[in-house]
Amino acid sequence: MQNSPYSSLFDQWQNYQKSYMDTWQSMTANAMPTMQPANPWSAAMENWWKAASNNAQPQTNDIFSMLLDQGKTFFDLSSQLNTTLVDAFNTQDSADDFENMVSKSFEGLKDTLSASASTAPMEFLERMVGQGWSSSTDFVPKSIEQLQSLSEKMISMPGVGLSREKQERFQRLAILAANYNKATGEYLKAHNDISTQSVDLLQQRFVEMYKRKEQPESCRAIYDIWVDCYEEVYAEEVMKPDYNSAYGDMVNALMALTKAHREIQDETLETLGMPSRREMDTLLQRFQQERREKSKMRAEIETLKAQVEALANAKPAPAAKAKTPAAKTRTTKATAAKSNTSAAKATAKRRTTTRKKTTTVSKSTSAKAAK
Amino acid sequence: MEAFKLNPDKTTEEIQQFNSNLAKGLKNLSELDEIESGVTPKEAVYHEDKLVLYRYKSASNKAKNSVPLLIVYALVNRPYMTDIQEDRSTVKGLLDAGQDVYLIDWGYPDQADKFLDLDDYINGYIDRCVDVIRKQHGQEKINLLGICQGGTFSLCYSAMHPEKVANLITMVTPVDFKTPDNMLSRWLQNVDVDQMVDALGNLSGEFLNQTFLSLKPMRLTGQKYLDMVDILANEKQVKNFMRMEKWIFDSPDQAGQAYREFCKNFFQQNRFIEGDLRIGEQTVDLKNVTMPVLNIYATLDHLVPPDASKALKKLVGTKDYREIEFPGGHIGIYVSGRAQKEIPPAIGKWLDARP
Repeated sequence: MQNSPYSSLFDQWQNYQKSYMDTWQSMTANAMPTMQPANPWSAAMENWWKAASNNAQPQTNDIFSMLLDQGKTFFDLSSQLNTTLVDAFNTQDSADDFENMVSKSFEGLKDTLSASASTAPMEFLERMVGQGWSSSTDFVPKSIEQLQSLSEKMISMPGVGLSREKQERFQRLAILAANYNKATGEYLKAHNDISTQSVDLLQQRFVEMYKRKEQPESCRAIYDIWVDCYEEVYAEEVMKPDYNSAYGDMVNALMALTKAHREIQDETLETLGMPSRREMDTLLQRFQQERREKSKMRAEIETLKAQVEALANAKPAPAAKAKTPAAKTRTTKATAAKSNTSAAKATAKRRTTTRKKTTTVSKSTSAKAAK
Repeated sequence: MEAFKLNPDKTTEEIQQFNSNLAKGLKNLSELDEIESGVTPKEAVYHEDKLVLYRYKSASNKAKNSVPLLIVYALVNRPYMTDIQEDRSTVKGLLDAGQDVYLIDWGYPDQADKFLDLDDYINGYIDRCVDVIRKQHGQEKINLLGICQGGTFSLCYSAMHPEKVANLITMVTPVDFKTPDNMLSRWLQNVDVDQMVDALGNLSGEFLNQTFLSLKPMRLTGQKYLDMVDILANEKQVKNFMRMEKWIFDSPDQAGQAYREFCKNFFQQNRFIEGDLRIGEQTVDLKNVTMPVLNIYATLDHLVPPDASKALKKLVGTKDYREIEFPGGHIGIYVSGRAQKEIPPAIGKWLDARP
């Protein structure tokens, strides 16, 4: 470090961090335990929030916690990257040496990111499935040893006796749980790979910047570069068939497990004499079908009403003028015959409509009685 | 060779600014009023189940287009995105452009609605709303504006009931669900949708939120909140941010059967393109969309890529087809300042030219 012409600047940076932390500690010496935090900036933010949150309204706590978490991640990354770059730079004699040092230093960062590869997708999915019920994944064994033990005990025994079907349902649940575990593993592995690749890309970007003699302007700039790298890798990887297959398998396994779990819940509820989801579904389906038929009938009635109204409002055609008395009589008789026919037709139509209405009502009444 | 050097003074200043913004933000967030959902006055003119049909009241004295305009929004998310704030309201823009605007608010489905299917939504709810408006105005036909999934519904409706639609506008509407850049569609290909709906009934809004956030996870769950810290000291910007935040996470559940049919018919089987689309007992053929069509899409839309919308051109039967390309994203097309200046006036002008 002493040999580098720029070592004084890095020393200054480290000293600034230390003096900031020392200032915080001296201000809060009595309130806080005196332990050296891993990242003084993150710790400073945490301590600030502890002091400030007493004055904050409860409804703002959630959003502030979220903002602080992001801030701590951001500063942790900046601090870690700064250390990485300092180490790399202080030992380098050429661009290749710099690249090699960065590469070695980034291995640690990759391990960190892989270890903390997001379980958020799983948590969200499982929370969605839970929705206030006990989560299906409570059944999921948390280790291979647990799974093996469970498998050996339950799956190997054939079902016998009155509870044979119940036993087979639980055996099936165990198999589905094992499938879900396996599918989840594959899915999380895919995300781990994305994290690792994003770090590789980040490393590459820094080396390219160094070669172009460009500088990240701020901690935020470093964070933004990292986000860009992650999104770039992510956008490419999640479009690939392997990822889509892993995603589909994971979702399907979770849904199969959820469905089996709910079937068991329904049976339990029915045994207790309480309404189950299955029974409600049957009712709702029939009810919705009835509503559709009612809607259709209502539309037909409106159409028929409009037709009847149109007919009722239709004026008879004016009679042609007669030239001779005989012709007049013939014309009069013909006009009368015509109106009689029209009236007869209208009456016949009304009768038919009434019959149809009666038939429809009777059908509906019988159908309801049958149910 | 130049060293990498983070300027310690600048970095310290950056961190101090961050903390300062947080402190000011604490005050601004604590004093925030309740976030209103929708700003333009409206009245409910029709109710059915959880659906409400609203008519918006115009403050403008401009003469209205005698043919009313019905906005059909998606089932996903809430429709007040089109009227999210005073200076970011597509509804207000349309009213100022002289249109008589109606909007369907689908409400919040619950498990009692799980057997509502696409036929119920399109040939049921939408058709009855159209009839209410036609009757109210004494019009044979009305204008229809479909947004996103609502645009897909509007296309189906117009194909099945062309006699009731004067002009059709689609905004950021997916037509081809299997373009190479459609991430959502890729993810759904291997999912057993039947099993999913059988297991869950309705699909929760939270599940959909997580799916949409997963399209750009780092930006939407991380970077966005660091960006928020930059604006925390500005009360107005904070309120705007929180308004958007409320809308993003205010997601209704999806009625199970409708979700099943939509995913299978469109995302998985891509029936507009492949053909043989049936809604209820009717076949849907976009060649029957014979009324004038205005198709608006966003060039940076990551949810509905431009090609997914542009596919409409070759499918409709109308000879009066026009596209508007907007340089923005799926949401920006409603809320950006530029969109407010360009889109509603363009729609108004296009409609007024086709009475």
